[in-house]
Amino acid sequence: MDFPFLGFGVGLRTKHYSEILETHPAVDWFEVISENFMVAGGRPLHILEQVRSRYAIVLHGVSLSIGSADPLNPDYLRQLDALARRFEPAWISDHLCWTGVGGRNAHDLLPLPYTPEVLAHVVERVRRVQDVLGRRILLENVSTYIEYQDSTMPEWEFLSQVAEQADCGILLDINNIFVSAFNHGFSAAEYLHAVPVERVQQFHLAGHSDKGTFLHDTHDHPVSDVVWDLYAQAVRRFGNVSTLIEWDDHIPPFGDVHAEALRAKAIAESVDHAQPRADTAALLDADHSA
Amino acid sequence: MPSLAQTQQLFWTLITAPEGVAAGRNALRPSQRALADTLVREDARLSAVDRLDIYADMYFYRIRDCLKEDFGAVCAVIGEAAFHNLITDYLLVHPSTHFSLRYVGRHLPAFVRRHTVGTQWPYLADLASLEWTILEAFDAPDAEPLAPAALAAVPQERWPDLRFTLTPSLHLLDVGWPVHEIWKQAQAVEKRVEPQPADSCVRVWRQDLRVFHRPIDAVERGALTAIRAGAVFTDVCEGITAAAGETEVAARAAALLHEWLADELLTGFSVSR
Repeated sequence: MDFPFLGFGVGLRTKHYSEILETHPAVDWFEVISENFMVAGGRPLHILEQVRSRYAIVLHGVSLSIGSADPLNPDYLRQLDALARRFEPAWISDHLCWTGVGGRNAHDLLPLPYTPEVLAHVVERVRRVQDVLGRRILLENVSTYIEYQDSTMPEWEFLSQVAEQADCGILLDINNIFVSAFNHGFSAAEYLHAVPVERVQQFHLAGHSDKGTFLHDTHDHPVSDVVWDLYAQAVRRFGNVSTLIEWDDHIPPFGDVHAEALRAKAIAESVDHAQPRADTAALLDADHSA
Repeated sequence: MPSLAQTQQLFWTLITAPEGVAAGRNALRPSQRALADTLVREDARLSAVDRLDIYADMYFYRIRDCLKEDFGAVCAVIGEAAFHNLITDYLLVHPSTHFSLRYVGRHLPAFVRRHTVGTQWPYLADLASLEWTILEAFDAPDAEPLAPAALAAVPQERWPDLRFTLTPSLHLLDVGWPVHEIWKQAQAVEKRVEPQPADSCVRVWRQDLRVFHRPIDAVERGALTAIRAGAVFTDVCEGITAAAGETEVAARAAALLHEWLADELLTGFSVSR
């Protein structure tokens, strides 16, 4: 697939705007929440212009609602396309989920039943979205707290089938795999090994909270050691994939979040890749010699 | 097997039930209740209801937290508990219908006016309107401010026919309470003075990416309203004359123009003939 290796990035958050614009930290790239910049004008777009002038960015959406029974929202797609044309992100991603139904929006990443019927529904919609945007998108596995009784296949099979049939990429959230594996009692390693290598073009890493009976994908902690271990396994299988740290609540100073990205880089560089990628290996080598 | 739309509609009904998933499930029709009972897997750790309640909590708290940011002064005035209850009631009537959380509070000012909190705090709806207007100004379209030199270059005889363009972020908010003062007090921890009703107009605008607001008098309100309606400068001045008197018009018009240029309210002009 034709996605570049961007290195090790950080999610752009309001709290860090000033520091990023004043100090220009040596972070490889930023991921921005698309909807936060679907506005007419003002500070958000002004900030993004400046960030984009120095860094590669990726647009990461939360409202595509690719799995909803509602029709795709043409206004959303139009605004997303306009944003992409203006800021030229390396790629556009969203989540394999639904966010609302009946014209109402939960603003949450809600899980889908994993059935052949829903698979066909999602695949058809991904194709249409990619036609509108004129590019392949990445879809991310979400943390889930329920499984539907009607599901007939595991999440990794559903995700892989969507990617293969719709010809899109996968944004593999390592923390989400760990959280969902705990919450539903499946094997995170089995998940990793079932996902097709060539489809995975980005990793997400984030912290979660242990609520006793379940793990909650809160993005308010450092990445946990068990998730770092899973990340190392993922790098072994998928090679050097663009990696991003998400931190959305109780956000620490930028340096702390960036340190997590650098830790990911150190792990990625120390892992013996089972599946080196020609495109990413060349970039990593160039990076090393710099 | 239910359709995807039926599954999602049922899921929605359960996670948005104001008293939690169990109560929401019990309020369903029997046929729907049977579907709800076979919707989600459960295990020894968590029942199906417990699992759905995780989503119910996330639904409510994410939107409440967003509205608390957008309506910080309203929350400060009425307190966390009353704000929580207000948002519970609000979402029942106005669930989010926009893909962006940015717009989830668009009906809150009008809702507050009809809600019991609007009776208990009669200025609350005006305060909510001010906060929403601040948000509207925050991400309104950009526009280059008019350079004073460009205006100075206009020959004197053309002035009567000037039509000004106002910055898109400018809002004129008519209120029955001194909300600019209430808003200021809500930002501080100092003891609040109980406000008295007073009709006023608040001018809200963005300058250098920051949003400002301040009360304006009837003369300025009339002049800005006339400009927005497309009035030429001579008609704007007639309005000022009617409100401020013949002797004041020249000085007042000059002062207003000076202030509007400094505040970057003007973005351009045209001459009608």
